[in-house]
Amino acid sequence: MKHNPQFDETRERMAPGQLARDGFLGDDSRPIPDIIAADAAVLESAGVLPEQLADILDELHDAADAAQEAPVDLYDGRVTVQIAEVMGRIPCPFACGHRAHKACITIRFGGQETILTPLHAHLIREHTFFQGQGAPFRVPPSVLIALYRTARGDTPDA
Amino acid sequence: MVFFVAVGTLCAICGALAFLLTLADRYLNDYGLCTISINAGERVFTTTGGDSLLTSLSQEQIFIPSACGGRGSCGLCKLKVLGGGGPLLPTETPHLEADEIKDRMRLSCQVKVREDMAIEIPEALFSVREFRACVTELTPLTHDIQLVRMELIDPETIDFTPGAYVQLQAPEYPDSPESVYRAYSVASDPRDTRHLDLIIRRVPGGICTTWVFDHLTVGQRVTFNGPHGDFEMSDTESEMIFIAGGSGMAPFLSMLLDMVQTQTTRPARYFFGAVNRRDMFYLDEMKEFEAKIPDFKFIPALSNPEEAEGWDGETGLVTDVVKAHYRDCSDKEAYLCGSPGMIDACVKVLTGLGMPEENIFFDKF
Amino acid sequence: MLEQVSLAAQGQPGVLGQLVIIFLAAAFTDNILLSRFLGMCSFLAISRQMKTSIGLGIAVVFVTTCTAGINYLVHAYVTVPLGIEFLEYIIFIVVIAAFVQLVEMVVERFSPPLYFALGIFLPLITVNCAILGVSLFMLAKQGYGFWQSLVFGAGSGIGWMLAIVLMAGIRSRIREDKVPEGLRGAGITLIVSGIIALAFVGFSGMIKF
Repeated sequence: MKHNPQFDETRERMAPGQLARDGFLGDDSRPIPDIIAADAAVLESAGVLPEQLADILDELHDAADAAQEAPVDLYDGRVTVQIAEVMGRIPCPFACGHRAHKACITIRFGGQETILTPLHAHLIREHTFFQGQGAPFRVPPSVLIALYRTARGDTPDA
Repeated sequence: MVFFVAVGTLCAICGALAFLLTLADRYLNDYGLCTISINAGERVFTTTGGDSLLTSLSQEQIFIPSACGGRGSCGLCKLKVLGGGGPLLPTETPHLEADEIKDRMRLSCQVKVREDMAIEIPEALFSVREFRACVTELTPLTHDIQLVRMELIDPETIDFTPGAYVQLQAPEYPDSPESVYRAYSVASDPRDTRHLDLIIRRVPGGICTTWVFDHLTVGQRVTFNGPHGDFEMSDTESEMIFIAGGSGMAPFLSMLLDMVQTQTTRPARYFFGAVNRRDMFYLDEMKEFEAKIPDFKFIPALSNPEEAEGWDGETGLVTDVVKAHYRDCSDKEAYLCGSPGMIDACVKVLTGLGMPEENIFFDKF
Repeated sequence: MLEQVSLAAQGQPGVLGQLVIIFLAAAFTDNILLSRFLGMCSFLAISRQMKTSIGLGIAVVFVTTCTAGINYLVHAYVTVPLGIEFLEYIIFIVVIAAFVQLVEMVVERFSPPLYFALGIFLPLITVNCAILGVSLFMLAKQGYGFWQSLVFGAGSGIGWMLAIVLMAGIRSRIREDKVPEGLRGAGITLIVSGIIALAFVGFSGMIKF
């Protein structure tokens, strides 16, 4: 089966050292559409849309921004978020023209801690892309679904 | 026997074809000499065609800002191409808005020089040079911020206004196969033309900062270009309100060092915001500035100080501290250095205190 | 010239007539894509857009014509005299690869937007089985000289271009139509190709070979 050349350049941009030091794919050799499809399947079986996850991430980002690097509690204290500012922007590896601000957002909920960036919300919302297996900044859909449920108060902390 | 004939023939045919292709390459990829005219003839030069416009310009010592080194992923190298640029390429369209395209903006790293061209670039870029320097000091200031001091080698001196930034090149290193450029504000005294200071904060997963923190050593040679930017002190006498945290102190250090030399009586207040004590640095240096500059005060603010630290300075968000400090800012100016979130919050507070928006300055990184 | 025409009038093709017949046969009745189904890969992918289809078609015509001619010369003056016909598969591919490289350079120089639009499919002409097919079919038809091979190559290339342009036209017309989810893209294109192929069978009576 010939690979889809449309994603060749995207794959190059996702390689380590191009846009981010560790890249976006880790050691995942699957074609990008397959990575997206696998993660999308997880979302579907949980009945959650990518936009819903991205909305939560944006809400957390805005709250953390306003607190100017101090930790902030949200959603009745179920989620704590803290942002470490970085100057500069990083273009989306899919070359859709979007340039996300750089920052390091730490989210603590349900006893676990996750670190991501503003680019994550864009990749999830516009491309349903959660990054390849083994990428150091990959946040699997299962974690974000748990975050979503915690934030919206659907299930008690796991 | 047939074996040798077979192998020999195959090699001969392959060789002949390779030769043919080399000839074709030399002829087809030879675009001859092309003349590039900048800003309606203000500067004109000729170059051999075939390279990208960005490369041709940098060979002519004109440095267009670029964070990705010409790979077409950062979109910073935009400039106006009035003629000779050829048709717009699909690699450029993700980075150009509709009105930019109408304005004939192109991505100079994607435009290939094939014929005579006429372009337009901002005046300030003419004074940008590329520098080689040697690192003389690497001092940690906090757990994730480092001072990088360097001595210029070639050219030996740099001429900049306090507030300018340079683009530092992070070369290839084990985790990073290609070099990138990242912008950092200059923190040193503009009168010390032989040296340059940068204050750099580690970015988790960042290409350049990983190199600076984990691979750069004293004595190593680095490359950067600059000075860039139009963030600078205005030439009025209005009170200046500096707001920054962390590595955002860099441009203000440069400004304060300059103010020590000029002994200006212009009032200035620097609000430094951080989360807790371990993010603070240069507190003693700031006290020295207060002593040496006629009308300068340093106001650090911690938003989340720990009990044990015994902090007796201001507490709370730096924007709240600024709000509490002033009643009316309509005759003052603000200089901001930080992330978009911080800048937005500051602008809101300052305009709420009556400051006109044209009096608020910040570097749009 | 008059001689040829009078020969044709007598029912015998003559040299020029023979070339015309070869050309028409290669382009219509023996269409390399619609009758022999070679070269489907780029056909399916590029026929989305008319402009790029025409561009790719022209490139393929150039490559098939020139490689058919060159490969004939290699066959006649190198491999047969030296008795190394068994190497022809490799040698033909090498010649095709070199030629496609040349075409790539020319396209990049004279039409960068076409170069970027074609993307990976320009170098993929190399492994387009239609190109190798043309060279091998030309050999299979014993009795073809240099000019016959050249015309055969040109005819096949133009037949391929005809097919891809036809498909591009049809695809642009059915773009707005409701195609079932599973058939969108390659699926419906293959079905349509089959229907066009059926239509081309109608040409089979056109030429008495």
